[in-house]
Amino acid sequence: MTLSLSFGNWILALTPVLVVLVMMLGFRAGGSRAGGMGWLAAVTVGLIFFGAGFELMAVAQVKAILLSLDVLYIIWTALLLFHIADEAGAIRMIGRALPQLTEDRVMQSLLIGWLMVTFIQGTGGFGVPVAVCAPMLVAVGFTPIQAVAMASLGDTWAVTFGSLGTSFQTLMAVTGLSADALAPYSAILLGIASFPSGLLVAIIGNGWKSFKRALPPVLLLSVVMGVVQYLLATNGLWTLGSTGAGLVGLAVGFLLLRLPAYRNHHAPAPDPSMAEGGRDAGKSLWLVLICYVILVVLAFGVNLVRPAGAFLSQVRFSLDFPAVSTQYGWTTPAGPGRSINIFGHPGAILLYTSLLSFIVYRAVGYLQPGASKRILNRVVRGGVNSSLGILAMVGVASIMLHTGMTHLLAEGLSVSIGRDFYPMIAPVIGALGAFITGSNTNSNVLFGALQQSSAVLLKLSVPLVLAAQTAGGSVGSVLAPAKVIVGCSTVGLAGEEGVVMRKIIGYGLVPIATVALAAWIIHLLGYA
Amino acid sequence: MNHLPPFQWKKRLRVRVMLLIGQLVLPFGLYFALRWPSNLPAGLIAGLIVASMFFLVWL
Repeated sequence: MTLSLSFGNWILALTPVLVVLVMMLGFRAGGSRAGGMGWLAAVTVGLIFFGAGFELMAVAQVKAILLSLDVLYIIWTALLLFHIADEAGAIRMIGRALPQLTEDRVMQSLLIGWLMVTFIQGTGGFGVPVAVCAPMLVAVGFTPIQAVAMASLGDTWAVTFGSLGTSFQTLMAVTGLSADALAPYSAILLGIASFPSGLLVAIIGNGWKSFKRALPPVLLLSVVMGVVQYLLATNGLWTLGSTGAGLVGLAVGFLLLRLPAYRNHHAPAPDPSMAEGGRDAGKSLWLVLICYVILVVLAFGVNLVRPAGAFLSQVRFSLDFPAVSTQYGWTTPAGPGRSINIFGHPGAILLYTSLLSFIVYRAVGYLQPGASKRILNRVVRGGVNSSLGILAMVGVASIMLHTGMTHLLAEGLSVSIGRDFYPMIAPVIGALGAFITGSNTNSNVLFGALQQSSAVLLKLSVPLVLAAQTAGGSVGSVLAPAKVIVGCSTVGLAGEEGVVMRKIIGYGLVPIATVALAAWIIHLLGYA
Repeated sequence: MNHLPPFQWKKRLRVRVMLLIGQLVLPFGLYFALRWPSNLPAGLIAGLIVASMFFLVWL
């Protein structure tokens, strides 16, 4: 039990989220300041209104640090890889090579901001696709704000079956349902979400005038990727859902470039600073891209070659926590906090990739003297602000979870909506959980069981409601401040996350609304 | 932060690095302090964590 459900209590539970949103969207505050304000609001509301005690707050905060370390491991190593690649000239050379493949800005934006993001989401988690692809978009001439917004929105549909299916695995674990039951509707809803996802990438990069031009390739690619993901997910290969869809999408995208209509469409020139070969003269494009090849090979190797994965997963760091309760009886059971897989973590994969890439680049002479110092300076400059923001945001999520605020928010949404409209609200609940926690997986942990119970009580299709939950979570996770901070960190927008948030929140409602509408129509048609 | 003069910028970065280290380390101190018989160390560390959040908002 937590506080009884009333409008006043519901608004109180929403207060920390409102504070973060108002600070970021209204006052254009950076993630660290907004997160700090949200954290102070969460502590105040938790202590005064939700009956939290000192021990509960302390446990929530220590657990938040463990969760944050899990994320920071990726942020710092993604930044390291990015700056090594940048120092070697990879980002500049992509910026010069892509316009040679196609001058069509719509296709450039779709190839990087949607297809490549989807492919990388397949193996990397927590903001890695945005952190890797946003600088590439800047390199071909999009503004940093456009780049983060495009890469974020291009990722909306790919999260559940991305990261080797971690979020989907979690949904199965918390609901006790099999992949056979959950995969079909999840793949259908996410496949439908891929269409607005691709269109938004084109529109953000090229304006509404590009709508007509983007429509045919986006329609074709979303159908192709949606079908590939459906086939993989429903045939036991859900761990490769996003990877496979992204790979086939990239192949079809490159085939489209062979059509004259998409090869040489008149386009504004990319950033002039990218146009000169100067310091990259004589470098091989394929050799300079070796860092991304190493990343993919290592990520697949560790995740798919079981003995390698098992060998690297032997050392884990975690702490045990006691059970804690609020004075209203909302209890978080005793147990270990987040377990950090020191050598098999996605952050470790990025670290190995960074070190190997550095060795290769140095051996072939692609790094200028003083490169190490420049790389480390840039990593620290980019990582500090983002890390402070992440610590505060994850702290907010943890306090809300331990005080029962998050549960109250979801309960309020579910009981105030009748049976007929619940399938429309289920994705919103999933998106809300992911927005608060910054993770599709965490949203499924928080609300998977609640959505299952609601579906049973309302006599709705449980697989459809849970699919709506995880599809909403997929979209909501990339709109979360915690993930926007990661994206901003690699394009020099650290501290200006509020501006990016303003841009993507409105657009992000489109894929959520699409998923909600699709779930509702499936429910009305009685297919579920 | 990038629009500040280099000297101020470096100083602010150094403060933020120290704040980050503090925010990462203090909760682990709190975890172990919670097991001690006296509440004073845990209370002090909790106070420092709250103060660090106020400082983050102010910075």
